[in-house]
Formats: sequence, structure tokens, C-alpha cells
Amino acid sequence: METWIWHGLRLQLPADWELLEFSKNPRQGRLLFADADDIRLEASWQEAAGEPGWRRLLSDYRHMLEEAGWDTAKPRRHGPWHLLPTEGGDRIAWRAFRHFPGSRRLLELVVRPPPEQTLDAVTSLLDGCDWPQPPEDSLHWRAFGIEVRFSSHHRLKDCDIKPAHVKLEFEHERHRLVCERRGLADLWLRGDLEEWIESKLPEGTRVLKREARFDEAGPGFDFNGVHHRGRGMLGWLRRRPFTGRLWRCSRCGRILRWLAYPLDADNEEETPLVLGVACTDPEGLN
Amino acid sequence: MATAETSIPGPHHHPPWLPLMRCRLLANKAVSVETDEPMGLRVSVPVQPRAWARPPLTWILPLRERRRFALDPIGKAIWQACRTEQSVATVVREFGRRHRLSFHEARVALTPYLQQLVERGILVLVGPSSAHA
Repeated sequence: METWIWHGLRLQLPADWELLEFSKNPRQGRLLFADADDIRLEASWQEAAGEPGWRRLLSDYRHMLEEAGWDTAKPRRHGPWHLLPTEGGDRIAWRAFRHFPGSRRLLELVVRPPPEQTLDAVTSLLDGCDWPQPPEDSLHWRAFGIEVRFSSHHRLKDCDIKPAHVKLEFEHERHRLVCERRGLADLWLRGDLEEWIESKLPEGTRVLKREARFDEAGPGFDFNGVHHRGRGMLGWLRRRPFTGRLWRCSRCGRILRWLAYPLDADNEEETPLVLGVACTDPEGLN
Repeated sequence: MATAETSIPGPHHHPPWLPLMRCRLLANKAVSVETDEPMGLRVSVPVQPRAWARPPLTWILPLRERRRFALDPIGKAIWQACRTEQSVATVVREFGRRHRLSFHEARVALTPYLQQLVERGILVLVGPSSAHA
């Protein structure tokens, strides 16, 4: 099983279920997970201060499903979840609803387990799902093989997902953190890992200090430097320091890098505290 | 969250990648390998003769009878995998296993590449129905 944490929503899913669609909006959005054969899970959420009228919601929903060609059975409960079994063609889909008072979110999960899996697999997925109230002073994301722990409350600014290249960008009103994970290193990495420190950094970035590190995560480098935002004197005046780390994961062989920097030169003293960026190397990925 | 404004896909809605994954890939038998090196492969594909490409025009114009392509190590691996008929899903899985990629990473990385190889006549894509015929 693999843990996913997206905007605070925690899901425990089979390792071969991959995230194919996602929303950056924490107030309303959806996630779509699929394995090689089918879409397995759709998680949709919206902000809701209180519990909805379940009877009305489920009744309207059943009506919509029947119009779309699904046969629905009577709703049932599984702990805090409202569960609606549906069937159509050769497919079974379990639709589950729950309100999370801590995070003030209404969540709908549509689970389409592989044919050989039973209701137990669905209920165990529901038991592993949580959306707790986010702590004020920390951030925890776990997606696409990257786990990020950060000391203050940042929001996801950008998420660029390409084959074998994941880039997550988090932003606070004063700081930014960019995390990257690159695969297929055997095909493109020429020379030493150290040469990759400065590769594809934003224009105007200069690494001033680098230090080799060896730990169980894999061989790598800590580095810091300065980023000039603009050319000449103006760029020098608007320079800002950054810190970063680059390493090659000892388990999956992918190359990870994070950069953290303040958005304004005035915040130089307040460089963001990165508690940890790790490669999760999901089981079954390799 | 499903609302009146959003439609719920019906039970017969299937994921968009599935039809291609069920197709089968086969190396074009008319393709000949010119050089086989560790870092790639050079192949040539016969060009379909044009209706107007007849003597005496062909005595004057140097029309190519074969088009040559250089395949990188990925292309070479795909070519070798397709020497025996394989489903696209099998080729994608093997590519993912070899390069430590997940299924969908491998699929998204490989699909445009396979498309190019098919367009250039190096590989042949066989639909699932005719494959079982």
C-alpha cells in the first residue's frame, strides 16, 4: 500500500494505483487514480462548514446515477461513511460520502475495485482515508514519490507532472519551495551528480557553496547560493539567497532536488525551514 | 462532488488509454537493419513507389527506394521487443520495468514514441479484433 497526502487528504491505496488527474484548489477539486486497466478511485471534495442533509443528498444522487445508467442499491453506513453501492454493465462502483469537520470538507469517493476484490477492500480503503484539521505550523504532502514536510503553512502553487519528472512548487507569502524528482537518470545523466546541481536552475542563479553528503537517502550535496532577479545593478539589489539539496535516491535511483528561497530580499534572515523532503519510492513502482 | 452541473460517467465509460493498450505491435517485416550498435540501430524502410515514379522520370530524378532511420537505445529496445508480436501494454510494462517507471509514466513516455515508429512504418499496430481473428 502507498500513502498519498494531498491538501491534507490522506489516502492509503494499492501501490499500482497512480494519480492521473488532480486539482490544485484546496476548496474544491478532485483526484483520479487508475491502475493499468481502469480508473479505480475518484475523490471529489468541496468546502462545507457542516454536515449536509444526507437523506436528500443521497436521494438526489441516486436519481442522477440512475439517469446515467447505473443500478443503485439502498444506501448503507460504514462507520462515518455513507455508502451507496452501484452496478452497471459488468462494473461495480462503491460511492462513499463523508464530512470531515476538522478540515470542513465534504468528500465523495467513487471506488471501482478490480473484479477480484471484495467489499472488504473498499472498506479498508475507507478506513485508511482521513482529512484532519491542518496544523498551523506545518505542511505535509506525499504525492508522486515525493514526501515534503515544511515548517510553515504553504500552499501548492504549481504541480508539473511529466513522465519521469515531477515538480512540486509550494509558496508562502514570503517563501517558496521547489521540489523535483527525476527518473530515467541512466539515460540522461552524464558525468558526476555534482554537475547536476546547477543544471536547469532559474536564470541568474549562482551556487556559492556546495558540500557533499552521504546518508541512507543516497549520495548527494547540500548547496546554497544567490539568485539575482534581473540584470545589472537592479538584479544585484533584488538578489535573494537560496538553499538546496540534491541527491540520488539509493533505493530507486531517481534524482531529487529541492530549493528553498525567500520571495523578497528583505526576508533574507527568514529562510524557510525545510524539515524534510524524501523519496517515497512506492512499492511496486520498480 | 457530483452536482447537477457535472455529469456522471455511465457504467460503459472506459478509460481512454485502454483501446491502444489492447492493440498489438509488430515489427514491419519489410524493414531491414543496416547497422546494429550498442547505442542504437539504423534501419531502412521501403518507400511506397508513387504512381508517377516511372521511367523516364526515374532516370532523371534520384528517387529514394528506402528511407533510413536511426533509433536510439529506447527505439532499439522497442524494436527488439516487437520482433515477436506483443500487446502495447506488454511493451509499456517492459519499458517501465527496465527503466524503473510506473505503468502510466511508461505509457505517457512511450505513446508518442510508438506513434512515430508506426507513422514511419517501422512498427505495425494491429487492432485487438483483427489480432484475434
